[in-house]
Amino acid sequence: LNVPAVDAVAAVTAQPSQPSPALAVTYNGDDPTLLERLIPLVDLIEVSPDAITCRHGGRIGLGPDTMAELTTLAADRPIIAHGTGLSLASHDGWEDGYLALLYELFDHFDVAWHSEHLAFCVVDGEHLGTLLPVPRTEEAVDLVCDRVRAIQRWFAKPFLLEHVISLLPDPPAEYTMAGFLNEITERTGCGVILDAYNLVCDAYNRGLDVDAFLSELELDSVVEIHLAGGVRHDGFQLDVHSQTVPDRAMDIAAAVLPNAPNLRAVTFEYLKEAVPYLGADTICDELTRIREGLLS
Amino acid sequence: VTRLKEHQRVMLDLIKRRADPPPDPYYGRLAASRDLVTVRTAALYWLAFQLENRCQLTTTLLKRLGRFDDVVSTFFCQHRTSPHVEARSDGFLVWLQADTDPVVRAVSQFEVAVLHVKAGCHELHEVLWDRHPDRVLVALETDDQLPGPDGCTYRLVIDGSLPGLLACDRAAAAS
Repeated sequence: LNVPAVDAVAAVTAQPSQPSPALAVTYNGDDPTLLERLIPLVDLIEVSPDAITCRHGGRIGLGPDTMAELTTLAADRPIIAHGTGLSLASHDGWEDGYLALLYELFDHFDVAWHSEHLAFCVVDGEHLGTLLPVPRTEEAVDLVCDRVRAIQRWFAKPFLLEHVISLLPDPPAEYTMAGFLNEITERTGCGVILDAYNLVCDAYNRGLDVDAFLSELELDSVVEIHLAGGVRHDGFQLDVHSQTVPDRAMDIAAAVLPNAPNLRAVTFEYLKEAVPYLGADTICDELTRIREGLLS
Repeated sequence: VTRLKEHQRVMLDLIKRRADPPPDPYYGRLAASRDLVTVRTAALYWLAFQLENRCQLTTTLLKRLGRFDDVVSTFFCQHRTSPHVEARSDGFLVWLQADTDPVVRAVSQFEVAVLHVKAGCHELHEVLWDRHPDRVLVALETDDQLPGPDGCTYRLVIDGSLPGLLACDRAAAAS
């Protein structure tokens, strides 16, 4: 475990420069026909290890069918890993089961970088059923930074953190949302995923001042931008990745792009469960729209 | 500023409706808020969706009995749900084996056994039914009326080494 910590920004900028950020898309298995259509449109494939699991005998591991699809159909597209199940900010430790899945993915693929949400979904070993943001306190900064450093040592690939939406009012905090991210990236050298749709949700649900957030956030740390769309339910804008990207999220991404010198990818995310409703044509059209509108 | 451990435990209790909020104005407001209801509703929606995908027989039966939403909500609030979706659905099926309805007990026991055998587990499973299991499974598949108890006990064995994984015999006439 004596691998030196990897600074995400330094690591990604050390790679051969490319004229514009890459375009990435989610693929979490079960639809090789869709994957074949996505491949020519994108540069990277985003995989969530905890969304492609299955049971092998007595243990839970990555699904062999999805791994085979990625190996054969996406052989020339680098993989980026994006988890939801690590529960990085749980008070009593993270999910070892998720780490095992991540190790398995790293064993099979040359993962370009990996990421997790700055959140917790497990308390005392029990699943909450949702991702909740971690209170923005000094105690949380210390805990998150210790864990980020450990992940950086173990995986030796750039590690990024994504801010999650907040449906609940913030608990008392010692940092602003951007200040919290800045503190963690400054202390650890990890990168940030700026999720434009999450900011749209936070603006709608909680009145977040997106311009003030972006003014305060150190945009040098932004390595990836996420784009997605969701639905409104009972007066709340939900982060469900079941729709095309709203204009406001595209506008946020367009505003950040020229000011994020270390940006490596823009990722369009959709839930695989939403494919029957969205349709493969819409997903492909959305990738073309993002490429032409943001990355050309 | 609240300590992280206390905050996370309070959030777990509030989302799962297990305890009143502590005497702190923030949690008091939260407990009475529509925001918390939305978080809980979203969590229940995802859990129901996952269970429908992974436990199709049992969830079809519960819907047929008009109990699905209540059972999922009770499971979510009263049970220690696993972080892993496979273990979560197994936990649901195992928990239902203590249900008061014998057909729910048998179907959930049968479904967890089939899931394990299909995944390559080698242990043998035996499920006792108070009605012909074939008729129950066909009724779930076809939307036909569920059969009632027929006075017999049926022993259904689920074992990866059996042709078709299953064998059934009439164990005894019910007393």
